[in-house]
Amino acid sequence: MEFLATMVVLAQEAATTIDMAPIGKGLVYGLAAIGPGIGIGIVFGKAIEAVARQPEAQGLVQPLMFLGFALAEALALFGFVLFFILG
Amino acid sequence: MNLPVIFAVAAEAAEEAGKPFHTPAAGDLFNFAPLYDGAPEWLTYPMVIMTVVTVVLGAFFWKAFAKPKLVPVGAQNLGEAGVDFVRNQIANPVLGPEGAKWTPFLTVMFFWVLLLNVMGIIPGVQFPVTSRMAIPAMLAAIAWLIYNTIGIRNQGFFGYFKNMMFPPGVPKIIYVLLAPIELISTVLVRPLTLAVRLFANMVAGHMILAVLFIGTGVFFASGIGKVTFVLPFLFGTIMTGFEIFVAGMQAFIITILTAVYIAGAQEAHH
Repeated sequence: MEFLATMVVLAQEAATTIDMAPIGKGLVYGLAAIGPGIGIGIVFGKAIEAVARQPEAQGLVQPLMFLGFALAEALALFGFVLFFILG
Repeated sequence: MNLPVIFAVAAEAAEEAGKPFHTPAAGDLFNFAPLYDGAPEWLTYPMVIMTVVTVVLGAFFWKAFAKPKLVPVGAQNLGEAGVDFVRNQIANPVLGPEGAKWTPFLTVMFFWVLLLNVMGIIPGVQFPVTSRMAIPAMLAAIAWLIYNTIGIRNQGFFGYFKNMMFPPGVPKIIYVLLAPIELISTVLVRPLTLAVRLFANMVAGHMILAVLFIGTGVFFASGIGKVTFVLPFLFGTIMTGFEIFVAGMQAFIITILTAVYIAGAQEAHH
């Protein structure tokens, strides 16, 4: 009788315990990529707009565009690295 | 798929004839054993590719510029086109008058990374050597040493950090937030992202191509897959084209970002 009760408890636990680790790892990068995706789109869009308004400004705008891109993408790369750190 | 993995998978399949096919794990795609039994630990497939690429690149630029003629022909023409691209698109717009000084370094960085990236889609080789973290990490470490040394040399040790952490023209109270962020961003985040950006792009691209082309083989071998194998093959072809674009773009981005960081360290921030 006791053996049966123990087996039932163990079976219930095995059925309801979900292994959250892979889900967590996937969520880390997925959520981390939202903001930088929007941010990089804004940076490049504004740079394209600036060059379209004044083509002579390309020499000034382009280094700033790449600098802004690097800073915005850094956050997405943190998420990517965290995926590998999380075991 | 690249030859060592093909041979390994084929050998495994031949050994276990009749058993279901085992697809390679992610580690099999990137970790390579030494070339032959008893070889030194470092003598692996990526090392061989990297050595060959370096020697070929050096030989090409030597042949192009050893005896330059006034009217370029052959290798010199191609070499001049390459150096012109780096000089006019990367060095001069970003670095201004110092562009000529940095063009050789940036040219080598650009073409070396480009060739190593493109190895991922060349038939027979099919392994992007820059997907091994050592190479992007080394490039990022070199860039970090260069732009910090230039900054300290141009602005003095304390001047460099003062100009970095406390840029003029900002309300004083913001410095509490800005200074640590700027310090961490310049000293830690820049080399990290420089390395990880190149590494992550190449790893992801290689995995996509591996999944699609191994999938083609798996589909073809299975019963229902006699016709549907065309789908992953087609998509794999499209992704190969995309990988060529990513290879060129990642080489361009790592070079121009190195130039931007050097330029930022050079100017004495008014």
